[in-house]
Amino acid sequence: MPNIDESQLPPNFQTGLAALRVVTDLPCVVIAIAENFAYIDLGEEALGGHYKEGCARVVARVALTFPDADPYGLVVMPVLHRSDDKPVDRQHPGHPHATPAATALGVTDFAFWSWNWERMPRSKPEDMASVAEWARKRFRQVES
Amino acid sequence: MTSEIHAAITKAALGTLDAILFPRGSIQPEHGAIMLVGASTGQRRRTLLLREVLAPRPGEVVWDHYAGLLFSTGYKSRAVSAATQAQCGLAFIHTHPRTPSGAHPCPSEQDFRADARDLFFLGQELLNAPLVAAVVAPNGRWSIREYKFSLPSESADVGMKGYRWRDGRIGWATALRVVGERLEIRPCAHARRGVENSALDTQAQDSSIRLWGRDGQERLAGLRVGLTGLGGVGGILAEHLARLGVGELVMLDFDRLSVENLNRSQGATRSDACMRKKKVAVGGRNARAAATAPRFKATARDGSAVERETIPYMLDCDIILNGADSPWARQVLNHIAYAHMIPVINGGTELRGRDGVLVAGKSEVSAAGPGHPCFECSGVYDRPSVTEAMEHPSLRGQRGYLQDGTQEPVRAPSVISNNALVASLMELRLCAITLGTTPDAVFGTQRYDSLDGTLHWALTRACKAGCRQVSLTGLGDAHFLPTGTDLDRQVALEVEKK
Repeated sequence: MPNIDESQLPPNFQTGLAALRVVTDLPCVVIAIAENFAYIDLGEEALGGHYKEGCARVVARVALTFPDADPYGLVVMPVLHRSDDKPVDRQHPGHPHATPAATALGVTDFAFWSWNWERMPRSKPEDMASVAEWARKRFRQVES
Repeated sequence: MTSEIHAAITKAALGTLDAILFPRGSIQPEHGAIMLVGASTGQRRRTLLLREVLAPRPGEVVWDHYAGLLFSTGYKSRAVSAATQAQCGLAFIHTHPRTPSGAHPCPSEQDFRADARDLFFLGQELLNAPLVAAVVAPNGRWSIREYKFSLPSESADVGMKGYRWRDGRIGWATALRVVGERLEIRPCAHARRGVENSALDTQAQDSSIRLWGRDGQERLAGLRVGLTGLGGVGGILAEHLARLGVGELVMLDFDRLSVENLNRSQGATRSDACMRKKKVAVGGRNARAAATAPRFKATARDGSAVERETIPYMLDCDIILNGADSPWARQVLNHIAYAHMIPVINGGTELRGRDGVLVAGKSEVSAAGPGHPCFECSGVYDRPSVTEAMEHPSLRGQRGYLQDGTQEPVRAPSVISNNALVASLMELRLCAITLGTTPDAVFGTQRYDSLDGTLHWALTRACKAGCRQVSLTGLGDAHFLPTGTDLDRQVALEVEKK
């Protein structure tokens, strides 16, 4: 995994990352930076019964200028499959938005979940703490 | 290395300061106050941002017949604590009430000694922060100087020549920009160039001098205007502003002309398009050919308004006009407007047609900066659009419903007549803000509805509750601008390489 020097990240992003770590009690390591976005490893997430896979590695894609720009999308590893065999809405296997995170972790089975977190609080840097909760919320949602 | 110094203060802070410096009915010969100071570092200009008045408490600034005006130790200590907390510097400001009405105030020998000594000792706790002393006259004229001291790195150097308070180097500010709904540029004592670059061509500028007088025309000649985006609107502005008589244009764009631009690129020839010349180079050429100010200067910079490397060129400007339609560029300029106290005027058009008929269309012009509602609250951009503009152009799509390979339309509809309307409204707003030509048309968003042909003002008169933009005022270099890598520019560079 490439070594990201977090002290070089924008100050607001560092503040937000610290807040996220306090809330999640996870390392929340920045594993990649590509094209104005950073990829924050949120670790393994238990998925419940909606998916055939019991758990997935989840990485959040957050704009480096947060909170002046939104977090956008999740990277999941592996590609997920619904228990009812219906397609997973807005899951894009092998999408370029997910590639930097997959490359950093050496994973080939991955997907990008295009998800716009418009209602997530994002008025101050510390609001980045909500990223983990909003990611979990996405997995809890029951799709029709 | 910057070669000129300006100072800037908001109209609101100046009002607060004036009430302290020139109290009614006071018999004390001089008055003083301390302000917090940020710094804005451009390519050529350093601006001292006088951002907050620390009002003295009773007894903290007193007049002594022998020693002159004295700031108490408690006041100075309070100021250092506030500056440390705010990560900024300090300015010691006092009055010279006997300055002749047409003259600039001049610091006395006693002022030089007292200010240098105070700033030297207090500055040791405020490493690399701006240390400023200023004198103000009742006529509103200022003398402003910044001190730079060499701090000893070894104990043996303490008190040695070069490391003493009297060895401080002084840089003189040539102008004070008062930034509010309007922009006023006051030449300071020691003005050398910039605001005094006021030579006129009274023959070429005759008709506009008849409207706003020599004084107004000289103010235009003293302006350094930033121009971001040299497309349909910016290309017109480059020529018009030069004809209007502004003294200097700093232009910024990375795009190249193509034949598809010719129906709306002012002054561009088919040969320019075939040679794929840079839009900024063509804009610079047109501006120089059109200029009426005798000492007109145009700087054409190949770059993007969202990239850190090009920001210093914008920080050299007194006011910025944006014709770039990127929401991200608008956001970065919105931050500059407050953090660096440089007013920004934005203009743009959106047109939608179907079957040869216009089905939706609006043109808007807004201003941001201290005294104005910010661009985000005025609806000039929103954060989802900014986030999308940060993506690679090949991967932009409807956010939240991304379809692989979705691309935005290659070129949005655009017509030179709408661009000319927007450019004209921006020029009129520039005159309103800098010359006061139309006092009732300075503030807010002006909108032209292309469908019914009406021009009206939007209802937004202030920032929304919770907006943090005003809190950025005067932070200057201490504020991290939301810049990044302009992927449109990168793609353009890759195409050029091929």
